[in-house]
Formats: sequence, C-alpha cells, structure tokens
Amino acid sequence: MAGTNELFNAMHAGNKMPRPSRIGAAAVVGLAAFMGAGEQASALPSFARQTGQTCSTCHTAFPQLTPYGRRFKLGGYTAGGGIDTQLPPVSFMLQSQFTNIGRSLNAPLGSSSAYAPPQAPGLGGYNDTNNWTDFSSQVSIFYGGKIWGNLGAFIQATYAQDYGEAFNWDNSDVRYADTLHIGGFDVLWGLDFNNNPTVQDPWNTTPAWGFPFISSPFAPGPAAATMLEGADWGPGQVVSAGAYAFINDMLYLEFSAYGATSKSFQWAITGGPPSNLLSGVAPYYRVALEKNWGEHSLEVGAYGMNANVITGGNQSLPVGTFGWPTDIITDNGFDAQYQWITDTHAVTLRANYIIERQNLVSSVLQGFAANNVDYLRSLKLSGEYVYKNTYAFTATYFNINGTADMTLYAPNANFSPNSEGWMFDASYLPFSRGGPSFWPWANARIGLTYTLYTRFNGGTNNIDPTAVDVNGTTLCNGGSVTPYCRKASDNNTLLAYAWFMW
Amino acid sequence: MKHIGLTVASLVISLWATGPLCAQPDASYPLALLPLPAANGPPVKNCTYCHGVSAQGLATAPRLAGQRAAYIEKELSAFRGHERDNPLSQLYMWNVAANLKPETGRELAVYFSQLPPRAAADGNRGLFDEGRALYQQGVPNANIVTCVVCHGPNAEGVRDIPRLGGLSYLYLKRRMEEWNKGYHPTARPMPQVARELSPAEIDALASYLSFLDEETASK
Repeated sequence: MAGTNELFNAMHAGNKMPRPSRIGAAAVVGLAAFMGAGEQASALPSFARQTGQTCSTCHTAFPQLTPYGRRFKLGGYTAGGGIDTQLPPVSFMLQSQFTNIGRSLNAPLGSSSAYAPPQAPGLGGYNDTNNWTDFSSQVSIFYGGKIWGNLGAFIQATYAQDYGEAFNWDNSDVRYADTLHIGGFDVLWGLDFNNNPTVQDPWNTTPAWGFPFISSPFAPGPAAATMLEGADWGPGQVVSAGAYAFINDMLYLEFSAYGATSKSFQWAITGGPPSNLLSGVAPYYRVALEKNWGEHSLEVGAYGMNANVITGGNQSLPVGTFGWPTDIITDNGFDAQYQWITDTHAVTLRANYIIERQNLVSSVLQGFAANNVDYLRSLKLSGEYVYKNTYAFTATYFNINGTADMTLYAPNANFSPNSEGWMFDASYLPFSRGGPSFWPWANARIGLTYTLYTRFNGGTNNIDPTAVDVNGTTLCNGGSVTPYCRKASDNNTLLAYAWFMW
Repeated sequence: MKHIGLTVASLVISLWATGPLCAQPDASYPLALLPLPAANGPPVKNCTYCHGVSAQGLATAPRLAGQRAAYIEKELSAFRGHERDNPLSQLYMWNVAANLKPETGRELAVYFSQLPPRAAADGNRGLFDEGRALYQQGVPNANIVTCVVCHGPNAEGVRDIPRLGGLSYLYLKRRMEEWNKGYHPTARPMPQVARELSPAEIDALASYLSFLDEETASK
C-alpha cells in the first residue's frame, strides 16, 4: 500500500507532496493517470465547428477515435469545412462525479493505513468516508484546432477540484503536418511537440488516451504503473519534439525525444516539486500498421521509451549533478486494435501490453528500492460497443504484475506490485450526432463505471498488512479478520459521471 | 459548486470566441483578431482526412482521385439538397455540403478529377469474367441493361456520369444495394437499373469494377 498509503496520508494532511520516490509518484498518478483522471479530454466542440462535422465522424464514443479521427489528428488538427470564424478555436469542459467505494475508509485516525477517513484541509469534493460528490471534478479550457496553414494544436489546461484543487497544464499536442507524394507512396508527415508520452498517438490503445477515459480521483488505485502510464511524471513535466510519417494510410512511423522542463516550471504547474525528474533526453519510438477495408480497421503496433530518471527528483542536488546515478527505465509496448464501424454499430477491441525494465541503481542508493533490477508488466484488454454513437458499453480487463521488491513495495502484500481486475462502463452520449439547436457543437457523456479488483497491490484478502495504529499496533495481523482488515474487493468503485464539453 | 463562477465565465468566453451561430460559411467574422489572408488552392485537407491522403478512398469513403469533376459537383449538390440520403451520406457528407460554397466545391472537384486513380482491386477475382459480361452485355432477358452504354467501355465515365473502374468493391456493392432499399431515388436511372440486379450479380459487377484500371479495362 506504499503509494496509496502515502498519497492518502499526504492528502489527509493537506500536504500535496508525497514522499519523493518512484512509487510515490506512481501512486499519485496511479490514481490520476493509470486510472485516467486528470488525463482525458476529447471530442472537442472547436473541432466540430472547424470541420463542420458532428463528433461521430471522428469518435465512436469520445474519446475513442475512428479511422477518420486518427487522420484528422495526424493531419495536424487543421482540416476544415465548418464555420470560419477566424477566431481562436476554444472549447470548455466540465466533469462532475459521484464516487462510491465498496467499503468505507474506516481505519483508525492516526494509523499508517491509507484507509483512514480523510481529514481537512484540502478535501475538495469530500463528502463521506465512502461517498464523494464533486460537481467540478475537472474544469478545462482547450485550444483545439488550426492555428494557421498546416499548423494546429490541442492544448488543455485543467482545474481539478478533487483533493488537490489545483490548476494544471494538461495534455497538449502541437503539430505541423503536410503531405508528400513520392513515386507510389503517399506520405502524411508531420512535426510534433507534446508534453506527455503517447498523448500524440492516434490509437486509443496507448496510455494517454486509453480506457478508462474517466475515473475517480477519490478511489484508491493500484500503486504500481509503468512510466508510459504516467508513473513518473504528468503532463508538462516533460516536453518532446518529434517527427512522424504515415505512409499510404497504412504504415505509421514516429520518433520523438523527451526532455524535462525546469524544476521551477514543474513546481508551478503541479503545485509542488517534481517527484521524479527526467535526466537528459529520452528517446520515444512508435511503429504501427493499420489496414482499413470498408467498415473494418485493424492496427498492430509497438512503441517504447528509454529514460534516465533522477528518482525522488533528487531535491537536494541540482539537475545533472556529476557522478550521481540515475534509474534507467525502459518501456516497450505492444498494441492492437480492431474496429468495425457502420452507420448504426461500432465495435472497438483494444489490446495493450507494456513491459518495463527498471534499472534502479539510484533508487537502491537512496533506499527507495531493494533490487537493482525490477520488471513491471501491464496488460489491458478492452472491448467497446456503441449503438448509433449514443449508447456505449465497455468491458476492460487489466493486469499489472512484476517483481516483488521489499522496499519499493514495502507495504504491499508479499511486497508485490500485482493488481488485477475488471472495469465496466455504460454511458449515454446524447449529442454525438449533433448537439442542441442553440449549441450544435456541444458534447456530453453521462455514465457509470464500475471497477472490480480481484487483486490489489499484491493482495486479495489482506491488502494493508503492514498498517499500524497510532500506538504501533498492527491493524490487520497476518490476514486474520479484524475490523480493519481490508480485501481487494473493498476497493471496488462505482463512479457516476456527467461530462460536458462545449 | 463553489466554482460555478468559473463555469459561467467559460461559457461566456466560449460564446464570444465562437462567433455568430448562423454565420455564412467562410464569411469573415467582424471581430476577427487577425486579418489572415486566404490560403492558396482548394482546401484539399478538408476531404483527404476521410478520403485518403491522395484521395484513393479510405474505409467507407470512396476514391475521389480520377472521378469526373461534373459528377463530384452533382453529388455535392445532392448532398446539399439531401437527395442523396444513404445512411453514411447523412452522417458525413450532409455536414460537408452544408458549409461548402459551390465555387469551392467546383475547385475541389476539378482538383480530385486530375489525380491519377489507382484500382482498389478488393473484389472477388473469381467473379471478374462474370462481372465483365454483365457490365458489357447486360442480361436482356432479365431486363438488365448494359452498363457500358453510359459508363463507357473502360468504366471511365463521362461528364456527370461517374467513373466506376477501380472504385472499391464494398463501396460499389453498398451503392447498388442501397438503391434497392430506396435510398437516393433521384439518381435516375440507377434506382431502376439496380432493382433488376440480384445479390450475386451485384457481387460480380462490384468485383469486376474494383479491378478495373486503364490497363485492365483495355484488355
């Protein structure tokens, strides 16, 4: 429970800064990114105004893209066809949420358990020990569309109420895209600048735009996540420059390089010092093959990133201090997506598998990890059915597993990072094929998501084995049943959400 | 709800930023912040993100490259007037045509008509000969007229009669099937022609035509 534990404790104390370690960051973003909160946007009304198309042209059920949506994105968000106001393409978003977790946070106050009731200040939409209502869970402003000529952008800034009550620089992606015709090859090429690995990717298999598209910032989430799933940093803590080519509408190739933004900038956009800091330049690659025939679309691909990470942000030392080692994190992802889209039905099947090798030389030196090398694997299989772009049903299986590490995952059952479960979502999208007459570009998604854990942070029946009360007495000894023993299924979460964009 | 003010403020800004709701397509907005000049050439990108980088067709969107300019213009007009009412046309092309000025549509039509077409070649090759016989000779006893009379010996089309050669099998098949379902009834004489075709004959015709490029057609 290390990550979640720290996260909850930090939040309960009104302290927005968790312990500076890889796992600490993983926990923060484990809630915020792996689970999707604070990361998602999409089906921008400004895109609809610019293209004259309804959301359903580019999305089955936003933010899942269709083949046309992928090409609109790769084309630099510059395609038009709608009303030309010659004004900045600005959109807005509001997410309201209600969260219920399976069992209340009833561990004793002052204990080291993550499951003690939250305390003021900084409670945001807090309402109860297992129910939370948050009317402005996220409020975003977007610049989305053509800037000029072949230059376009998707830039999001988000105010997230939840616990943090912070305004952040969210997902952003700026592109210059054009076409070339060389012999028998049609090439859509572009230059891309973004602030979050995989935010530039047009397939919804990859983490930044992957399922779940929305989640609760209040519900406990698995502590372990891979770097590409946001374990080490959030949007804006790194920025990239890259180039891509999409050849014959079939073969996609991309190469980008990521670098860290300055510590003070990261502090400014996240409300605290960086937990983990990217050192030097991190290369990112992406290869994908997409074949379209009629109503069918199939993609298989691979992507990855290699990064030197100053674990814990190394707060006491300036960036690049000579001789100080870094962790070396290497992620390789493999993905596949199949779509069948008619005027009535849309089926999307997504598969994504990331294997991460963590060379933890710096973490070991600082006492954050026990093993020099750990592995972490993340699998996600997801199926979505959408009827008339209006009713969407999604089922997802996820499995995170990896090397046990007695320091990195100290509070977890068996020191294991393993978590496993299912997510089910049913939602209603009334405006996908055109909004109300007074604002036809509006979009909305109203839904329910249920997350079911069969394993959580290494445990099934006792997921908080090391928690002690204020006197140092173990709360849940060796899996015995006491009032505070918590099962994986106690973290099952029901999320009701209303997501508006205009 | 304590940030309701933020929500209201963003609504006000968005109303301002998006301009008048009933603005004329492509009309300049009186409060434009930057006097940006018009881009050169027709706005090809507006079409190619669905029809493919070089307009050879993509997914359910048909190939535009090499299509007759007069036919493209006629169809744009049919989309605008909602006469071409096939389900996918309603979903995509009605929106396109609603904001497209006729002169821009004409420029786009001419541009795409000049691109070299490539055959989709995605039909059943085993039906090639059967499809060719149907295309060239029709079935007089079954009241199926020959296609060659209107669409030309190489299925290249003429004036506002479309080029069929090399269009994708799935697109051709769907078009013929949808006439049989009553869609796009004003596209005379095709609703009457398609009515006489059996599913097997539609399959053969669509297969044959999908392979037809200049070289194949002349054989």
